[in-house]
Amino acid sequence: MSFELSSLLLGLFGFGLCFVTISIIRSKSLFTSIILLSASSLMIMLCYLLMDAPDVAMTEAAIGVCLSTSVLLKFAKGYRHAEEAEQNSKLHLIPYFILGSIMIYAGFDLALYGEGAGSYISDYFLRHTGNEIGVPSFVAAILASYRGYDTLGETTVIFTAAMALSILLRGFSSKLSSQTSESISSNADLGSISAFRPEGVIINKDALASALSNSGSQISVREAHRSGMTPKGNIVAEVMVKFIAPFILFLAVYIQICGEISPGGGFQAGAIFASIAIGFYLAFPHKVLVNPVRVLTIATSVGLLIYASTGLLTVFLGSWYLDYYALAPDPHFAQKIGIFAIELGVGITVAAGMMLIYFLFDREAKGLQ
Amino acid sequence: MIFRMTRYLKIRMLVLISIIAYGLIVIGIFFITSSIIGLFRFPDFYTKMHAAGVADSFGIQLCLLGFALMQTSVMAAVKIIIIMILFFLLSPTANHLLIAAAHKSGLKPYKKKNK
Repeated sequence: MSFELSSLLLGLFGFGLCFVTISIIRSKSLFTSIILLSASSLMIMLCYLLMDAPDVAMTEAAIGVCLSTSVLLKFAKGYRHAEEAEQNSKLHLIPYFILGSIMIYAGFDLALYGEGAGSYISDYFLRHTGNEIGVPSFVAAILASYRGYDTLGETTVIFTAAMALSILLRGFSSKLSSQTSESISSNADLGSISAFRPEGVIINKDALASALSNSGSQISVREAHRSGMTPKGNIVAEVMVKFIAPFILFLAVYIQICGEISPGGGFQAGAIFASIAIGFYLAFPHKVLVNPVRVLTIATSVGLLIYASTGLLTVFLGSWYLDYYALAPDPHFAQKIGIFAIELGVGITVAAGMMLIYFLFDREAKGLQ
Repeated sequence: MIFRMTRYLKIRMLVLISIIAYGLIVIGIFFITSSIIGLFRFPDFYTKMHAAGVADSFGIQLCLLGFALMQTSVMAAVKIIIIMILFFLLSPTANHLLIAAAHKSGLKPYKKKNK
């Protein structure tokens, strides 16, 4: 048994992952579990790095550690003080024990780290990627070319999640705003305020517009919204976000384009792009910014459309679905074009999907249409 | 200029750079350790954020500077310096935003109880 620093650190972070997961289960408040979820994503990301999987580590860092935590933190405010009820009987734990033992038993069947189960397949990939595809990154070649159809399924999963959330939250938001406007419309003094919530005061734009026109003032709704009815922003956040935004956008485009050469690709680039776009909306809460849910819905679909259309294009050019060799006469150039096209589709879908999830919750929290 | 140096001077310079790099890493580890101790010993959220900020904003910079000096290729050192600049800009920002958010939520600072 040789001593390697990476296996020692792997054991350390694996233990840290177990520790954090048990802390999540035992935590009493929602806030604590959100922060601990971010910590568990950090632990598993370090494990991915130590196991020589930088693509997965980058995706986990961008989505698990940063994006999901910030979205959850922003919109879990109303439930901050909710606590679990004490359970007296432990009968509800029995299915968890059964499921856990089944998973542990199945875990014994997994191959050891380093001796893959399908090692003849990885042998084939290692030997023939240079000849057949000509792309330096094996991960991109397998993800986008050898197993391109599975990646289409992954992109559809992200698309479906965003669309399901869009359907769920749209119905709730319209019902809520109509209820509150009915209940408070009779009050002449508070005519423009829809509801009092823990986040702040929610403004019914139609009532505000009518109140302004009745009083005869020339201010538009947008100026009234800005003048003092929303919380002010933080100067440090504004300056830093404005400074660092071009670099992060550049990084997202770089990771998108160089996904074939270095670790990267569409998923990571989409997550980084979404994080800086959401960062803008988090850093400037006092400015009236358009809620771009409609554009993002279209963009999510366009990304998936680009991916699927590449496959259809190859069918029209005479070969089977997602066979990139039909796209150009030179085989390596054809593969590069195909991989670039589908990574573009993946990047657009992931970026728009992540932003859509944030803005749907944002629209529902503010009660506006 | 390096090609004209004698071998004796080159080795002396490499040893000096290595000593400086190790010294920087040791000082950085000292700051990180003191920050961890402070995280456990300080009584209040604001003081704990100060302790955490020491490691994030200063201890890591020194360690990264030491690593950059230890690199063999210039490009790797430049990449580490860029990461150091990014850390230097962004982690005090995160620290400040956390403290501002706590202050806005109405968290009161720690007051020593008079006996």
